[in-house]
Amino acid sequence: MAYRVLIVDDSPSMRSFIRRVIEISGFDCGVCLEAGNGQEALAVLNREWVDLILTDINMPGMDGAEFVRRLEADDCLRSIPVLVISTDSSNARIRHMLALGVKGYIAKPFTPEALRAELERLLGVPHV
Amino acid sequence: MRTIVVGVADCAVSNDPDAVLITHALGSCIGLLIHDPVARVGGLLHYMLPESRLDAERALRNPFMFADTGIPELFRRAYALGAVKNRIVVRAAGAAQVMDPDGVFQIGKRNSQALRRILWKAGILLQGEELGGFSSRTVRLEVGTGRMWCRSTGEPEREMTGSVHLAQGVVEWRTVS
Amino acid sequence: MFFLIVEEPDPSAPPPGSSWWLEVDFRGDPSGCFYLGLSEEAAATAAANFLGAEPAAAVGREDTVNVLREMANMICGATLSRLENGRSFELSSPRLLEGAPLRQPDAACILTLDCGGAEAGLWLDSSRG
Repeated sequence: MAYRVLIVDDSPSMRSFIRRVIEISGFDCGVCLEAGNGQEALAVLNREWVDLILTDINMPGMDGAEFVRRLEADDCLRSIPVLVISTDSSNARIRHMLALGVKGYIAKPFTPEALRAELERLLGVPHV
Repeated sequence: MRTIVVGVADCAVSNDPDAVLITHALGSCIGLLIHDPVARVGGLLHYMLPESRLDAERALRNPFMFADTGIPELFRRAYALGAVKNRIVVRAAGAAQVMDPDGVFQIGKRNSQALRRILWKAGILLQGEELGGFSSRTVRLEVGTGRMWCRSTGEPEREMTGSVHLAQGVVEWRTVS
Repeated sequence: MFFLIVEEPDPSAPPPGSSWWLEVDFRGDPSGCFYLGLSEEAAATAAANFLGAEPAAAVGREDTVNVLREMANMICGATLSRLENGRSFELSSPRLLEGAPLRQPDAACILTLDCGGAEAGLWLDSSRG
């Protein structure tokens, strides 16, 4: 199955890192879309469907928390699982994002294997 | 079963379904185990140090002493027997802090970092690891089945499975209070 | 993610002669600014390692800047997350500076890496001016 993934982070190098992990993890990622903040991500989702969203929190313009709130408020978009990837690993922040409905949380820095483990949990183990 | 013992700064690759590759005394060293389940090719590298640049001459005589020369050679030999990169399962054990109670030299940690850096640059992810700690380890690989085991000093042997120990960064958010 | 080893800290170590400087503002309790300086070697190695590039010379300036900004973001964020006040912080986008910060920091440290060196420090808002 070819997955469609949206990566939301204001850092181009972070988006590149995540994209690389997805590719070498063996997932058949047919489409890997990118956005620099929540506003751009919503514009992408206005025209494309995805199977998974990976999002940072601290971003200029619309941050990750507001982005997730907007997703949860939409009848269609709320069904897309969201994985947070953020430098903020405080209990307060994690609790907050859980309450907003995210399905996973990875604190930066992380190993590529950690991201793959979460991708497998949310998408299933890829077949070689 | 035919046992092939891999010594320190040594490597073995086999496509014999009856072969078992084994290496002992993984203290700060790392044992890197690879297996292609389709071609049924297995390999085991036991390396001591992270980088060869401090002793290039020795690396020429024995590439398996160092991560940056031994790991590429391990994979080259596996490919020569028919292994294919995107099918290979990779696991590692070792990198313990032994005979260095204050952690001054950090050889195990350096070996671990070198492994992760080299695999990342090669586009390969680990699918199981037993790294760090303070105990010496023994690992073995059955070439016919691809099954891998690890035993730490004083503990029972356990099979290395596909699940990675909770890798750095994943938040066990379900248990956040 | 950067695959660098931090050596045992040496309080008497001289500054590493940083060529790259980055700054991150943070808002919370407390608020302030974090800076990171890296030597040429450390910056080049960190960028190549992060991107999985080989050799280090293959990484261009724009990619190096992007990687170092992310490094500053991570170190600042991870440091603040370890404060025991349990509060969240908001971080600005990291800025690349033209040179070293002129002000004396409230807290600073020098890091000896396995490739080159780095230094980091921060100011708290009450003392900035």
